[in-house]
Amino acid sequence: MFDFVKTVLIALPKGFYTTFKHLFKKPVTLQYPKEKMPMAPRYRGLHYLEKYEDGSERCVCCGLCASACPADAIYMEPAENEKGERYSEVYEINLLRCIYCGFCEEACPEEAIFLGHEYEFSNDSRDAFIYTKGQMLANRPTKEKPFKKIIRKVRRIF
Amino acid sequence: MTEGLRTEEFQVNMGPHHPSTHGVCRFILTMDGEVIVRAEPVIGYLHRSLEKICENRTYAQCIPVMDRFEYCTSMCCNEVFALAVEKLAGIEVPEYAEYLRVIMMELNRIASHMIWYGTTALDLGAITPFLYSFREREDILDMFEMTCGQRLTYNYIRIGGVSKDIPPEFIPKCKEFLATIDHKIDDYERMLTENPIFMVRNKGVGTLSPEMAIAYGVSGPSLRASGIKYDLRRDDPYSIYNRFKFDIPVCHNGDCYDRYIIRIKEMRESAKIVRQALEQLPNAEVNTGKMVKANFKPAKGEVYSRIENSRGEMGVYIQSTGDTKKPLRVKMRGGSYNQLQVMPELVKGVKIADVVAIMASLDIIMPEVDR
Amino acid sequence: MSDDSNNINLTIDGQQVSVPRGTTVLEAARSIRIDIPTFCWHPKLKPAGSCRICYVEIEKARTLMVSCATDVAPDMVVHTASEKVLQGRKAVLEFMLMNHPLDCPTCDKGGECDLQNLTFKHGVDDSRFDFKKYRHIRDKNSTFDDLRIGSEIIRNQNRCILCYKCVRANKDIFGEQDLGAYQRGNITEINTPPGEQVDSLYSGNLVEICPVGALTNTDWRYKIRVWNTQTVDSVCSYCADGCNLTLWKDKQKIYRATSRRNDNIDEGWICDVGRYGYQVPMAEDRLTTPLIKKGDSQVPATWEEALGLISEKFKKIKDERGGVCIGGLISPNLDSLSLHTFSKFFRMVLNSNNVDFRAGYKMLPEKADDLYSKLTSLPFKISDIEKSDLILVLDSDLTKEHPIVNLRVRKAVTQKNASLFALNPITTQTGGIATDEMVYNIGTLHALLNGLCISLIDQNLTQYENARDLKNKLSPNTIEEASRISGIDVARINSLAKAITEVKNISLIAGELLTSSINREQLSGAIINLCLLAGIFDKGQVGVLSQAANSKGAEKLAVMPHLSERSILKIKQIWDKYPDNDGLALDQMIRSSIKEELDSMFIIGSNLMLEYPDGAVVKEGLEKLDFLVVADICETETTQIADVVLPLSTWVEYDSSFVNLESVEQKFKAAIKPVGFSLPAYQIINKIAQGFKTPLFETIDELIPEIKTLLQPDDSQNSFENCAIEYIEEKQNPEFEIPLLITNELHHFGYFTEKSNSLSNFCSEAFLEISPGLAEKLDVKNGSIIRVESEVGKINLPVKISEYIDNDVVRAYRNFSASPVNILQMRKRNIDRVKLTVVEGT
Repeated sequence: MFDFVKTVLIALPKGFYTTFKHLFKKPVTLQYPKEKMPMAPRYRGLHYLEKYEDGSERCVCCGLCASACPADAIYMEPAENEKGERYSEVYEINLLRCIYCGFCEEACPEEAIFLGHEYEFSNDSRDAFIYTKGQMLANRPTKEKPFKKIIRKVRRIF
Repeated sequence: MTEGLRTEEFQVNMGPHHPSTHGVCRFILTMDGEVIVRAEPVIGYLHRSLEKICENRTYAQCIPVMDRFEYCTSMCCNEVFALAVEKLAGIEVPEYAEYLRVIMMELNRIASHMIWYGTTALDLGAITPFLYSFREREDILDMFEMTCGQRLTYNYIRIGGVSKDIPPEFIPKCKEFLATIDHKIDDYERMLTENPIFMVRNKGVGTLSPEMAIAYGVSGPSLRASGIKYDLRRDDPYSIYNRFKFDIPVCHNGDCYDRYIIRIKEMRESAKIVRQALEQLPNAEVNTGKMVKANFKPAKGEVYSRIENSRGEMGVYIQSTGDTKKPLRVKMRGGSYNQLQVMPELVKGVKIADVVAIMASLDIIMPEVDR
Repeated sequence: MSDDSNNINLTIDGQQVSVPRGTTVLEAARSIRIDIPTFCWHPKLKPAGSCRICYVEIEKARTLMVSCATDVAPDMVVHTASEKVLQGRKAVLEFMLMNHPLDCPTCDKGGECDLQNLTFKHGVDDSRFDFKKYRHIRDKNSTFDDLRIGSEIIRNQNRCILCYKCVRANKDIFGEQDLGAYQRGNITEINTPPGEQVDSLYSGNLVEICPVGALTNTDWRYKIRVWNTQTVDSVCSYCADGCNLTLWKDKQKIYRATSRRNDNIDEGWICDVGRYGYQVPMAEDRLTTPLIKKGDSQVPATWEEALGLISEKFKKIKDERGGVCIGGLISPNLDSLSLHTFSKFFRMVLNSNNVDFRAGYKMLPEKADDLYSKLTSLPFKISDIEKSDLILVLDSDLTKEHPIVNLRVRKAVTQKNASLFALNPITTQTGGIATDEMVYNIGTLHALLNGLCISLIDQNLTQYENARDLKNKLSPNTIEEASRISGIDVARINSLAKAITEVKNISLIAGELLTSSINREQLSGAIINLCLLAGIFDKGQVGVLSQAANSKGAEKLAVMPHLSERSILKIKQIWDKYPDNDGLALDQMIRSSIKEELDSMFIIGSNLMLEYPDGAVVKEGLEKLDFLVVADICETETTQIADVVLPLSTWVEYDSSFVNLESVEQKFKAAIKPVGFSLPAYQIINKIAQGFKTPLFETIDELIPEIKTLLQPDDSQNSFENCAIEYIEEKQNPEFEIPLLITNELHHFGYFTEKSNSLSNFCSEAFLEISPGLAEKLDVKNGSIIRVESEVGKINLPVKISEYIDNDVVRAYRNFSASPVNILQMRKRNIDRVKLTVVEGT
């Protein structure tokens, strides 16, 4: 009998009180996809390639991102442009392999590749997940992601 | 009963796609009516050969792989690998980075226990607690996201330090979270601790004796619920855990209910550690440590490092040849494996519905078992 | 055990070491595996001490010492890793990085750069030099300051650390003058003299030894990162020197070839043909499927169809007319397994001796045991050249034929003070360092050698007992007569004779002009006479150098119709039988075909239409065949007229071995999988043999002991007897008076090197090399078109004026399929003579 009083008359109302009191609170849920969560500036989403102010590509196809990648997701082929500069003729990321660890971003000596805030890129074919250089350049956000706080200990000559 | 008629045992397949199996564990249960005679766990559905993957990666590249080892507490996985390599190569981690590591690991422990709290209740039929605990977990994940950019696979704790400093808005947000967390946990307790249904489902179910726990190598909260006061943070201190004051909660019955109580208490203790760490956080020098480079080669040797994870002892064994950039052998140990091992003993003689309660209370997570 | 008094004991980092006097501290440290970093040091160059990175601390020395230029001294105590040394190294690196651009991401050297590695190792990550780096600006608009200083070399002076390795190697090792350091201080630059290019045959080595990315190759430029490649041990497949190569590949593509140092052969230097020759297998127009001739065209077919047809036809010929009606030719650039299988197929399956590899020779010997093969079987070591006091080069333009032997000769002469005598019908590059370069009238070498023999006899310089007897066998038999015929002064002949007798060790090297001459036997006899008289057989070595990568192997593996008794015994031993018919040499095969005695030919890897030194005859011979099977890597003039064409794999696509001119068998590994449906020659041959129900092998392991037996050196000593030598002047048509030499171009070998882009950049079309004097007489400039006409053919070629040729000779190159110069040749003529007419309007 005492147990009945303790459980049904005390414990259960206690629990119901806890839940009922939230009826009068603002819900914490978001109506996705109408509403979206604000992203932290450091969020690691879909990649993009950065450009210089004059519109030329920053990427020189040095291959450090590909060698830093623990998932072997990056494939690139360098080539020489008419100015004699090295650039990436092919730059592909297999988004199905990518584990979004951000090593490519950290390895890049030219500050060319970044992980942006895009996270809605589902698709229904595997081929669509081979993310090409053109797409990566086009995906560049209008507002720049603040550059990493890498203190450039090294001087550039150019 | 006539001569010709007799009952016989039969087998029930539980899982691999049963929602209560927390991933894809399969049990072959041999039943005698409603009562379980034998249980045989079938594992390997989530096997990704993480150990071999690590053996083909440079040391630095292993960290994001470790994230996938036990994804509820990725920070701890990062830490255990980093700790092993640091031990092997004699790398000193700056004090500031150590504090950040502890803050992240303890927040991660709270988040992990919140998942456990929510899913346990869900498995036993209560949906509301799940929503509550995931609401608070979201706050923790927000903090992780603003620090390292991801909500689940952090790749934050690196060999030699942490990857990035915390952003300025982290500390206010964390303090706000810590200020309310105790009330939130009170809420959780109000919903379940004295709930008659919950108590009936859990009390006296799946009693794990301390002898059996030790025999099966069970560790972490499940071990402490059986009355053994053993916590690596206290008994084999790593990082800077010896600088903090916290209790190690112990219960004595070893049943599902006690395991619940332990975890609830642990959440409060972890919050206590985070509070102390935030206070002690050295403000003078911001040094997140020098991370190892791609061509890093530790000296020849072998090392085993272990930490107290939310699911028991997590350890990594690394063997290095000294002349390659990749580890020769990596072996991972996760607490869930031993807890799954003891499951057949615990479910013997119980009803099938109790399997769910026992499994939930042991907090088994399959990627850690299958690796 | 060497004399201990000559050894010096010293302590390096606490370890006792004993080294010979004159060793440098660096070498002493390396001998006990203590690593000291270097930039300007190279094992084959003299120390320069210009980079200062190899600092070590020597007790009692006032300052840090550069270990590469400091000789060891007794009881020296050296520290290579003390605090002071590390600080010194760090400072040197900081100075080097003062002006070194940090463009490692774009630099092709990134990943294998000594400077990068050391900077990484010593942790120089900050610089105290805040001023702007000095930049050697080439073009203000371009981002990089790259300058092409050679066909295949790009220089970026900003990256140069001025170790001068390239300049030193170019001058000291290769003897070229086309690279130097200009200006001084930090604006010093490595450059060519105005208007020149680094286009020597060895230019690729300069890139290989550059410790930073200052010199880079165009073939490797911006292609792949070094850490993404895998290396494969290989051997060069062009000339017979057998340089060891490392191929750098990823997946199905080879990206570059570098030297794999072998001190017995190449000493770490390779020529550009070997370096860029890997591009031939990478050619885009490789044959990928078998082709069968149907009507006028060749249509792709499957292997089953092609092999079925071949077996059926061969079987029919064998049954109806005998296996001797099938002739076989295989290229000596193919590997040992293929050569052996080819010989086995003809001898065992077709029961015929008609196998040959000598496509480019005139008038092949029709019997075994000729003097020439006796000479070629003598042992010869490239590394022994530098032990010689006197080197005699006969009939060989070494630079073009054997670039690495040439480097050894150069080393012996410039570094070991050997004297060099070059006896050639033309001026050669090697002759430039000779004590006396004797340019004799073309085709008169045996007269000249007779003169030399007579000189030895007359001056009583010989110990040979039958000398007087020998003199009577010689014609011309007076030195004056020999001098008149060859055009070399008596005094020069006499002084050479004296020089030969005075020295202790002689290397006699004879080359392609001798081998391809009709007078091969006479010349060999003359050489034997000279060797007997001067005792060269006892005090030195005689090398009649074979031509292609596996020519020596082909000789040893019996891919010849006429074999010596010893070889026949060996063959009977391994196969238990030997066909008892007389084989046909290639020369005879073509004649038999014209006479319609030969029905079919099986050619592997050889472009006979261009290689055979008589264009008209070979065309007739091959067209008269009933059935021609050709296996080759690309379409050639020969495959075009074949009934069945089979795709052949190149040497980078399978494991096998080559036998170099020293008779050393060197194994190589496959770098890529066979291209398309191509197959290695030995597999093609085996598949055809399977059609005869007599497979030659189950696995290639069965062949290896057979090859090993055949390649075993002969134990028995060759005994030489003197021979009668008679010089007969060749009759000539007065209308065609200018002798024509046909050889390989400097940057080419055979017919496929055109397919290598890099080698084509050096030279992509055929030309006629004439002397400045002749050019003046004909009134032509570089690039003028000249009609070259012989009795049998004519061809138009552009002119190139060169100092390395004499007034009375012109030279054409056989490597260009667009200009088949073999149509000018006649198989019975020793010297092909032509007349030149300037084509109007050029």
